[in-house]
Amino acid sequence: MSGTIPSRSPLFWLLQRISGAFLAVFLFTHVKVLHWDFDFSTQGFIDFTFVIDRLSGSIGWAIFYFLFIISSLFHGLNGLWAVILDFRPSNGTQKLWLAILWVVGAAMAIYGLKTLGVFYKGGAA
Amino acid sequence: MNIFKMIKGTGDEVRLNPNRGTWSWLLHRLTGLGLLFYLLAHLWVLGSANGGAEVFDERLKSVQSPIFHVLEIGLILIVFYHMVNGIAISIMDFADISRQHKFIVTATVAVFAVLAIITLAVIIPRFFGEAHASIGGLA
Repeated sequence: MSGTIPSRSPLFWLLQRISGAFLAVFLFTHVKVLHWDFDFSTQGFIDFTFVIDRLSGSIGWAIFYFLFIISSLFHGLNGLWAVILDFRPSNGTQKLWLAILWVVGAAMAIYGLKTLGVFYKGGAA
Repeated sequence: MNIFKMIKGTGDEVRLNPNRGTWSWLLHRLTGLGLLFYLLAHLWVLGSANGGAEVFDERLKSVQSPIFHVLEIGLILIVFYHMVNGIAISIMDFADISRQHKFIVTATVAVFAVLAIITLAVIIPRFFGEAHASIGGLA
């Protein structure tokens, strides 16, 4: 338990702030549209039709969710990486975690964007 | 990376520095980890759309029961806390005013409280049927 605490490179520190700023805008909009404006006591539950009505064919929402998916996954996994480094893992453990974080991030990004494609097209292919 | 040592180390951090800044640091971590877990689960649930509208509707309905609507309130409050505190951290970093951290934590809690009250005022009446507030006046 000696030596300096490893830390992220300055680039990843900056990217955490940039992605966080994006998320503040995206998440506020997301909460407003789906939790403040949508009223489950009169509108029932959010279903496929509700999502399609808003997203299908909309370039604006497609760009919104494209950036939302990428920035939220990056922000969450990069945040976890900072937490991991605080516990001073060995070099080998760091490499293992980095590999896990990149694989999870890439896989979930592809999966999320595939789902976004379904909503944009208005139905599963 | 022993999980018990990690919990003890985090506990020591709070025990040895029992002030507002440390609590906000701990809360930011815990809410952040919770939100990451939620994000992955959220993407998985929405991914059911790849199986068609029926599969999507069935899964979406199962996560919009009354108990989930209660949990949803907690989720929104966690989102707002992490968001407001994250903005405060960024301002503190870029403006180099970390010496004002105690005041900034108090201001963060105040802004969070406003967003929390709006959220509670909008959502809670929905559990009690007709007499719900209009979002138009609030948002």
